[in-house]
Amino acid sequence: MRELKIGRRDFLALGASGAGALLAYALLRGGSEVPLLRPPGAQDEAEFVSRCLRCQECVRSCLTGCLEPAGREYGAGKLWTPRFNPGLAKCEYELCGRACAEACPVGAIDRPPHDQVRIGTAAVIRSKCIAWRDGKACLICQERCAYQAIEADSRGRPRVNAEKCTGCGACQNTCFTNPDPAIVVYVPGAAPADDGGGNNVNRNRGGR
Amino acid sequence: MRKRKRGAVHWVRRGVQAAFLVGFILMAWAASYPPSASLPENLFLRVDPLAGVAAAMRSGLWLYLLPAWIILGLTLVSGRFFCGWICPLGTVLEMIPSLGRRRNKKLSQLRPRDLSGRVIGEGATRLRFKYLFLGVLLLLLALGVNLVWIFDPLVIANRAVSFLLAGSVPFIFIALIVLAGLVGPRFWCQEMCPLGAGLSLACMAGSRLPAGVSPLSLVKDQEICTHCGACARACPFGITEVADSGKRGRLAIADCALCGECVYACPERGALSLRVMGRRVLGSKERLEEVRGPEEMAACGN
Repeated sequence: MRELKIGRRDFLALGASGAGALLAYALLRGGSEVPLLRPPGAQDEAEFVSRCLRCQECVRSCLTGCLEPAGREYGAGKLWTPRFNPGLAKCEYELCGRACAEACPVGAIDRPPHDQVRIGTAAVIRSKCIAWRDGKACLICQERCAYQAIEADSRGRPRVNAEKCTGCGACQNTCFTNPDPAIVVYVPGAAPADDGGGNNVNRNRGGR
Repeated sequence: MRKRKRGAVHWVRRGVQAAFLVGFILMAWAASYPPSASLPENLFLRVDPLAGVAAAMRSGLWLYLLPAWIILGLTLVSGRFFCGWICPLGTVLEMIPSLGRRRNKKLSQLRPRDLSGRVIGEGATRLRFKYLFLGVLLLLLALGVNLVWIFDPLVIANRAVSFLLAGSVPFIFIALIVLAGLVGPRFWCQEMCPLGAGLSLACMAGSRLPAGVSPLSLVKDQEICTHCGACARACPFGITEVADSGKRGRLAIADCALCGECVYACPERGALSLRVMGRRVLGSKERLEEVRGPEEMAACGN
C-alpha cells in the first residue's frame, strides 16, 4: 500500500481556494435570488442559470445593448448572468437575427419563432403614471409599442394587453418618468394580474 | 543564475502564444453586433473541453462542441500542449513576474514536498488537490449546479476581455494575477485549474501511446540523462518529473505542457528531444559543439 501524502503546493492551492471562497461569500451574501429578465428565448430560469457560463458573449453581441451582467444584488448564484434591462434599451429580437442566441457557446438561449417570444410582461404602475395619477394626456408607451399591446381606456389611460405583450421593453425604456418608469416589464408570470391593480390608486392619489 | 540565453523554441512558443492571445482578444472584441458570418466568434469557448462537458451534458450540443472534443483527443495523444501553447490565460499568467521563481535550486530542492517539508519520494503518492477539485466540480455539474463559470480559464479570460472593454473590473482574473505574482506564474495552471486537471487526466489515459502517433511529444533517452536537474530549473511549470522519470521514449508527463524549455536547458546532447509525429524537431544541445566532457557537464548542473 502506497503512502498518501498531502503536498505543500496542494495545501497552498487548497488554502488559496478557501480564501477565495470566503472572500466571495463575504462579498456576495445577502443578494436576493429573484428571477431576472433574460435574453429572448432563454431557457427557464433554473435551467438557464445552470447552463450559463457567464462568458458575456451575448452581452457583447447585442444589437441595442439591452443586456448587462447581473450584479451582486441578485445573489451569488446569478452573478454576471446576462440580465435584460429595459432601462438600457429595448430588445430588438425581430431585427437582430437573435445575435445573443447565435453568440451563446452552450445553448442556453433558444430561438423560438418571433410570435412565441415572451421575455416578460409589462404592467403600468398607476401610482407613478401621469395619465392615471394626474389625468394628463400621455400615451407615449402606447405610441412606442410595436405589438399594439397597450390600449387606452375611455379616459385615455394606458392598459397592457398581456396576450400581446412580448416584454420587449420599449414602453419602459421610453416612459419619461425614467429612470423610475411608470410602466415596467416583469418576468413571465410575475406581472400584477390586473395590470397595475395591485397599486392602491385611490390612496396614492389622495396622498399627493 | 543571471539572464539566461533563450533558445529558438522559447521564441517560437512565445510567438504562438502571442498569436493565440491576440486572436483571442480580437475574437472577444469582434463578438459585438453584428454577428460575423465567416468568423465563429465564440470558438475559443467551444474549444474548451471542461465548458464543453458542462454544456453538452445539459444541452445535448455534442456536435456544436466538436472543437472541444478535438482538443481532448489531441491531449490524449500529446499531453497538455493546450496549456503551454494556446491557453490565453496561461499566456498572461506566465508573463507575470513572480516571487515564486526558483532558478538556482538543486533538483532535490525542487521536488514536491509534503506538509512536514520532506520530499515526497518513491513509495508515496502525492494527493493532488486539483483532481479532487475537478471531481467535485463534475459531481456538482451532474447534480445541476454549474460552477464551471467561476473556474474555467477560457471563461475567465473571455469575461476579463469583455469586462475590460466595458470598463468594469474582472475580479477573478485579477485574483489569479495576484496569485501568480505571489506564488508562481503557473501555480494556478499546475495546481488548481480544473481544465488543466482534466487535460492531465486525458494525458495519463494516453500515456502508453508511442511518440510516433503523437503530434507533439517530449522524448527522453535514459542512457544519456545524468539527472542534473537543469530541466527542472528551466520548467515554467516547476515540475521535476522530466529528470526523475525512469520511462523510456515518450515521457507523457501529466503536468507537462510541452513547452520545450527543458530541451533547450538540457546540457546533454540528445538526452531530451521535442518530436512531431515521432520526428525530432528540437534536440538538446544540438547547436553547441561538444567541448566539455560528460563529467564536467554533470558537475555544472548539480
